[in-house]
Amino acid sequence: MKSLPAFFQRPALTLAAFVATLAFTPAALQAESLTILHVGDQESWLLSAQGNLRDDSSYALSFYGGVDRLAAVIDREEAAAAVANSFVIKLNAGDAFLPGPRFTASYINLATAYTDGGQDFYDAIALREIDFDAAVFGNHEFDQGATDAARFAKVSETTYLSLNLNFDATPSFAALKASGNVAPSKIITTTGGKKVGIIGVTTPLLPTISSPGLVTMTAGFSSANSETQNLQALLPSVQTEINRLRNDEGVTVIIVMSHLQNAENERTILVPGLDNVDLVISGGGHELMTDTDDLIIPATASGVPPTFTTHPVYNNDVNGTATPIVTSHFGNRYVGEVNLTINDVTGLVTAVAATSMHRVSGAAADSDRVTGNAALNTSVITPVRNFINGLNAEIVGQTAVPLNGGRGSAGSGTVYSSIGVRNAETNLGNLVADAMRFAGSAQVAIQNGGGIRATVAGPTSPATARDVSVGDTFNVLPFTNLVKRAPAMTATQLKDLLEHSVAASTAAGSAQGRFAQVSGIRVVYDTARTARTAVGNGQRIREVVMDNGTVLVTGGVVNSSAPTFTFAAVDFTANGGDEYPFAANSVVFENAVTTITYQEALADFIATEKSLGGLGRSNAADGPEITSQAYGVENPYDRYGRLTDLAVSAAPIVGVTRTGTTGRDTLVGDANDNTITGGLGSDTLTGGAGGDTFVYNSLREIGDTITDFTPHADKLSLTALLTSVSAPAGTAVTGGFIKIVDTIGGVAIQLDVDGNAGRGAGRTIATLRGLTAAQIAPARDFTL
Amino acid sequence: MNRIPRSLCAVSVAFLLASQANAQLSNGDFSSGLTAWTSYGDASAVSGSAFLTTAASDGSDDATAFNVSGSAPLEANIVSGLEESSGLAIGALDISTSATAVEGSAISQTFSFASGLTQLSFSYNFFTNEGDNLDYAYFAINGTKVSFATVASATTASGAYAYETGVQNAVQVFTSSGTVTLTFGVVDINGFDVSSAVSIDTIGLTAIPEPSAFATLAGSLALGLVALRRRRSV
Repeated sequence: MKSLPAFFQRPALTLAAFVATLAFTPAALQAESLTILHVGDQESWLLSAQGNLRDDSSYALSFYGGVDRLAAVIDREEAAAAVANSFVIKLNAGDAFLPGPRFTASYINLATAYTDGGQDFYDAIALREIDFDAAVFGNHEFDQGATDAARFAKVSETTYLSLNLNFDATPSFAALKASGNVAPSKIITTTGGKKVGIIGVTTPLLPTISSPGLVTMTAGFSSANSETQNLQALLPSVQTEINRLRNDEGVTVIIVMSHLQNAENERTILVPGLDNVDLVISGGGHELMTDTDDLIIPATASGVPPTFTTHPVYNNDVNGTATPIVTSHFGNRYVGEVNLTINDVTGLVTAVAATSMHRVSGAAADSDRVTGNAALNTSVITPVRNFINGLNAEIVGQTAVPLNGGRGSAGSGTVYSSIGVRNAETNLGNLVADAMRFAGSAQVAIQNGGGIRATVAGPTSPATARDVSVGDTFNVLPFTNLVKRAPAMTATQLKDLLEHSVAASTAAGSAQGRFAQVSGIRVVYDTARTARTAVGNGQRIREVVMDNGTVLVTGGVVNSSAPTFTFAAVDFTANGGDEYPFAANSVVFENAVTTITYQEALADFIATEKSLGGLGRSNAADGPEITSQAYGVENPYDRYGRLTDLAVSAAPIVGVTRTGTTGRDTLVGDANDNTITGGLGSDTLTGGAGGDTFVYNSLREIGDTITDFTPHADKLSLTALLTSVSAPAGTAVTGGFIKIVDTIGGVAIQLDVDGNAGRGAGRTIATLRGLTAAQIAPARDFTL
Repeated sequence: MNRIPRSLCAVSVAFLLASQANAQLSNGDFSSGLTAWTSYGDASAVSGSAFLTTAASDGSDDATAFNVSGSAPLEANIVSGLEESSGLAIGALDISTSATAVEGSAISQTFSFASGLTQLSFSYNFFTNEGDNLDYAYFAINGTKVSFATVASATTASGAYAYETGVQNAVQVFTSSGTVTLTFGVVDINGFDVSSAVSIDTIGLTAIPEPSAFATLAGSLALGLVALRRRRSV
């Protein structure tokens, strides 16, 4: 607490002014208080924390979040601070938007809506209404390129900070720099005349995880450096700015607002390397920090438990001074508050007086619920909701299964904490990779897990199907990533790319944005082996086999005689995003400008008629487009599927042998590797989990239905059948002895005893339910 | 097979219009066994009717043996198989790509008949043990197939077989070109096992007088089948 004599020492204040202050704002006699309200990673969660729904009783999470309610919470806390006579600074830790359906609404609706007749953004309207004092450039601000990043910063009417971006690189940024809209730092002067300096720092991962184009990174950045090396290299520049503000500008309070993707970077690198920092606001990591007295979004409403159970967390700076670090979760779910006490004489921070994590709730039962900011409700919530409702109404197909687009997270040992697109093969990853392969007319495709951003819910009961809308495809694949095609990739190139994909993966399931979902190949890798650090030196990729049977890698060794193949990936990775070594491997992509995004590729793939290679079912009796047979739930613990980590998956277990009678049988296998022979009669066969083999020995055994044939796991053994009718195994498929024909509800595998050369036709050996002819690869699925 | 009900001759519309019957079709009532008919697969004459099955000669298709003649059914979708023996193209007996014809039996006769609109009439009873697959009985006239009885239409509990349609009469109007190849058959769909059968009797052909409004109507219907079903009392 400050003393009265100290107050008198302020030379600028006359006695009259003091008396006036004393008369009208007695609190000024107390120590000056600073209230920092901070949010971060808003990521276009404009409507609610659920995403595209708002106040929907089926989804409790949809009653939380919402940018209008966030604004109302900020208004409430600002009013409370005013009553306490505390000076308020509102800060935004970056990633103020995220491409996707809600951001696309801005492009569709607001192309000429700003006061200058140009592009506005719903997210920017919210920033203007909340009136942040400063924001830091995160990575997502650059997801749509440097031009849109500058435009967003301009129309946000918020000072956007970063001391390690080259704002002279483009005319639009240079103009913003000249007008002070973007800068390395900003000084805010309190009512008491104290100067608070705010410095922005952007993640050095920016060029690899976003699309900054010409806007290069400065402050010691080198693309040859590791992330840690680049963070270390930043420290002198940050310290220089701190010193300049303190020594040359009279700043007495320093706040570093850094968007470094993970609070550990602030805690273990930034803070220990700096001096004279009063508060660090971290963005990009989505960590939730709460104290025990904070109300949090309950787990029953799909709220995320706190990463840190104190707010803030502290680490010692270079001089051993404990320095507070705060985060504010993501998605407009919480508003963080830090109250700093400032010495009235020196202007220095004397204490962190209080902190709070304010929940953003609109749930009727919550005592802290708010009614959303009315202006934002009208100008943002209603139009974005209408846009999303339009997208949701546009159905591209149906799914019989939930599609896993979660990130996944590491557990311990060889047990993942959760399985997601960044640590394992998932059904949604498979679907997206298949869509990429289809869009690129390629034999092989990969999709970095980091580009897959949401899960698609399954039907409410197993026998039904759920509509998949354009809105869903935007949720899953929100970025403007274009499909790129390489016409002639080699096995050597693909192996190195796959080595990169799993180089940072662990047996415990570390989530890595680079982790590739694949199509057209089966990949066996081993995270227990040496990870790639440079082109050609990885030893984790053990086996790679194309769906057509071509072996690209065996026993960790490239098959140098394998022919080249066509390949597809998004331009983000093709251009080196997620540090993908396409350039280092001299992979040549076609120059033809393709205008299809990966989201369009997914929507097209689902909707395109199955006879044309897509998933579309024009006949209602055909069932859903996305079936449990083609896109069943995957897990990393068995040896089957497109991606297998030998360090994690269990060795195959021989299951049961089921042999049918001469009559019509219904045979069901167990969860292991079964051998199922229906025998004579028209049988109904179910293999269950594991890798199952369905055996056919003679013509009179045909006419079966297999309910759950799973490509990449199960096989049809047709050797004895072909022999019994004297059909050649080597040309069984090419010669038309075995035919693969789409049928209602599945694909018919047929036997034509005299092949294409004879006049005879096919008789159905087995109908594989839930699959299409395009999903069958004879070399992979048949034993001939 | 002596439990198969004797086909009943109903007085059909055909007789009301008849000016000449059985002109050059021989043994249409099977009073002389299968004389004048060419048989394929398991075709026999039983109690004065033609009787065709899809049953394997070794009796393995069902719990008990349903094959009558001792000859195996003829395979479908092969050269000189069931379709070509019925004057049809290979594949013509398939229902869909997953419900393909695998085998069956047929009888066939080629004869002369005056050109012009002609009415075919016959009686049948379709028997089946099927519950799952889509076996059916058909006739073919000069390469055009008509299915006249299916598993779905066999809803009456039967004696030897699980279900039957009961004896039914059917008529079909077609245009004779002077020579007629007439085939009756029964086909096994999808699996070889589980048998179906059909009995055929009282086949008659009648020239339809022209011109008339009826002829115009019949011509536009081409091969539209009219099945006159008669319910059995239970």
